[in-house]
Amino acid sequence: MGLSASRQIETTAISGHLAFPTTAQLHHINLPVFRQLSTPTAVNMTNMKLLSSDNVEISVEKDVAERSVLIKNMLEDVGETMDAPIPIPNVNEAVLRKVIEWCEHHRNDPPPPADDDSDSRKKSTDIEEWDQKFMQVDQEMLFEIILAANYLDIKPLLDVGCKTVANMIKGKSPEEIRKTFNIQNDFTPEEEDQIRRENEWAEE
Amino acid sequence: MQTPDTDRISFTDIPSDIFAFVLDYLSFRDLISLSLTTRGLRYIQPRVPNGAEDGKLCSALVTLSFLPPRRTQDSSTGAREGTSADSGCPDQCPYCQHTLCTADCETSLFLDSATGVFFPRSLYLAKLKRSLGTKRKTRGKRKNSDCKNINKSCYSTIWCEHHRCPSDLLARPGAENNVFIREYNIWSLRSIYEDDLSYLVRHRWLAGQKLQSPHVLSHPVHASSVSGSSAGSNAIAVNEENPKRLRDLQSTASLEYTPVYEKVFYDKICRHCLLVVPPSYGHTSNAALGITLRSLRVLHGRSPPACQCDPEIRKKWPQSCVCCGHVSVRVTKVEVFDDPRQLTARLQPPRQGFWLHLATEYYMAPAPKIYGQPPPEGKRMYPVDAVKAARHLQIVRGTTWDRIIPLPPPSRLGIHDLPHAVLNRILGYLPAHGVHIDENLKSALLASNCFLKSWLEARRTPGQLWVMSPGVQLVSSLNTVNHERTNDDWELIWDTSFWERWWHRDAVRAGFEDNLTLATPDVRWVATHPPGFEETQDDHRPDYG
Repeated sequence: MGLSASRQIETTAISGHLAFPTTAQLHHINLPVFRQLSTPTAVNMTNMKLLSSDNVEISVEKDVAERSVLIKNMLEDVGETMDAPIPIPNVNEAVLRKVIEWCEHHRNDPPPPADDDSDSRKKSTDIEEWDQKFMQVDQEMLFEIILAANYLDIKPLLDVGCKTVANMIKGKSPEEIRKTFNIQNDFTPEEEDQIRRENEWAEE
Repeated sequence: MQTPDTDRISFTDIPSDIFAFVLDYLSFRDLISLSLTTRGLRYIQPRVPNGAEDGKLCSALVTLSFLPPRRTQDSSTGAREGTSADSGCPDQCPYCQHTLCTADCETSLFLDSATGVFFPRSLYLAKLKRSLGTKRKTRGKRKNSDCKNINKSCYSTIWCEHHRCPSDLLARPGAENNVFIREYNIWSLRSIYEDDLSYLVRHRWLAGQKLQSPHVLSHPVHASSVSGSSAGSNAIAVNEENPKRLRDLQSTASLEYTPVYEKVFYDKICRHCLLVVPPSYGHTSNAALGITLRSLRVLHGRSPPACQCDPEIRKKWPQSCVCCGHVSVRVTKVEVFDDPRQLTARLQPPRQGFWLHLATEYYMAPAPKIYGQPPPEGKRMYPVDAVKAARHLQIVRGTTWDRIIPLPPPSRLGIHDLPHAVLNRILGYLPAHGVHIDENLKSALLASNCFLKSWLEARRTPGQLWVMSPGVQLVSSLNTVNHERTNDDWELIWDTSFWERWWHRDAVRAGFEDNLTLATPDVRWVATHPPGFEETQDDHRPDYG
């Protein structure tokens, strides 16, 4: 908003991609010929910018960014006139790029079903191949992605992240889980004995 | 909405609302395990679901199984001390009368009386405890009850590093009255892994060659290799020195060899009852769950006992006992006793010995890349504990195995590791002539499941899927199975046009019927044994004979 219209058009994305002018920008500089870009197809190709917590602007297509319900709602609230980068104060550049990568791959996915009962989700922790590879990151990044998905309200990505963590727990003993997640065993021997005593009736 | 923190995040930092999502994907057993990792997670200890039969007992046993052994307990040796009359378990092997170890023996394999399958301690302990608990209750009510009858509901015997019945036990005079033969007949009738012997006559199951010399049989190798353990005169300790003795024997010109087969397949069993977990057709991702042919036979009412735990709860959870969960196992069918008739029988199938199954814990995991490329199979089966699994197999094989020359160790890269496109290219050099399936092509398809799979894949008609049953019969169609490329699919997905075309071509059909004993086992193998399951780095068995 603070930048002039011409300056904004010159701006290119940090990722190296050309940042196409938004319809709002085109409207602002009053170039009627460009306004034709506001046809449905053209709108899908419209770029917008996100500002990560470490102040890096990332250009992203609008329909990709709108996989995030948070951003979608934000855009709906401010209308078509939002041309400044949308600040994502809690997500750093690396994580934001990963999230955008996921959104780009899943841009054409149907919206998740409204019925989100836990029973249907419990049935399977299957993750599609691309998502499995996508989630092959270190644990810190995995948790960052999960938190970002939660913050940005991208349910399918949150689900993939949670399934990934669940799969890391499944079939493991407490000791193996501790090892996997670097959890300190803080049970005292007395506490362990107590748990054992509580269940020993099964062996009597 | 929780806001992420820019600081380093660990598992324990996950906000509780997200953590709840993760918990949604975990089974009852996994929740208990997670709740025992740290004090802060005790609160996620799950409550026993309403309607879960013996739920509290299962929950307690699962919890105990995750706790480390008591510090005062010494379980390094399983040697039985004193009488076990109070425990209700057999303290003597009913087959060879050797003293049995207690359930504490780390290497113990329990021969389940109900099924005739050997289960390792890790799998059997819960069932044993549950069984003993029931017996004690029964004994309390019926003071004059016969302990021997009670024992029958428990395990039949324990084989371990300290005891394994002699292989020639049933070749001895008077062996026809051995308890084992009675039990064996019952198991054969109601076996959960029912199959005919011709199934074994396949190179696919070739495990080695057996010395068949009368000289060896009358002077068994194990006679010189009984260790100085607690085993008695009847007990044969597993002795790793025997291969050396074998090599000596191999040099004897008079020796005769016959092939030894050990059928291997994978299954999913309920941890509660140790029976096959039946599938649920209502479930959308059966393929991903790994339905086996035995499971399908259960579904079609053609099979003996399957898991019946918590049928009400299984409507929501299509697997096993909701508290105990299920486990993948590799089942190996091993000839455990010599058959006194085998020296005279030269019929097809060639040998009718005494076979028992050994179940070892396996898990499915993504297959490693091959030369940086994704492997033909997305997932493969791996032993939970490879060393232990090998040890258990060695115990069950016992002295029979002492006389076997095993196959050479598998190569690092096998034909099954080749991409399907490459395999199809190889098959392309074995063309069918006219209406006949070329002998070479047929041999290749029958010899290795990876050939059959790649060949089918290239010809599969999407959308029409069939389930194969033994004996090359089409059982039913499934139209809703996902085409995800995991090895599970292949248990279900069959291109009907392929089978119909192949089967109805007279020439081919004639060829098939001529070789029915060969063709049928292979088809069954494909159906019961998801391709690629046997081909792991840790547990590799060449499937091309």
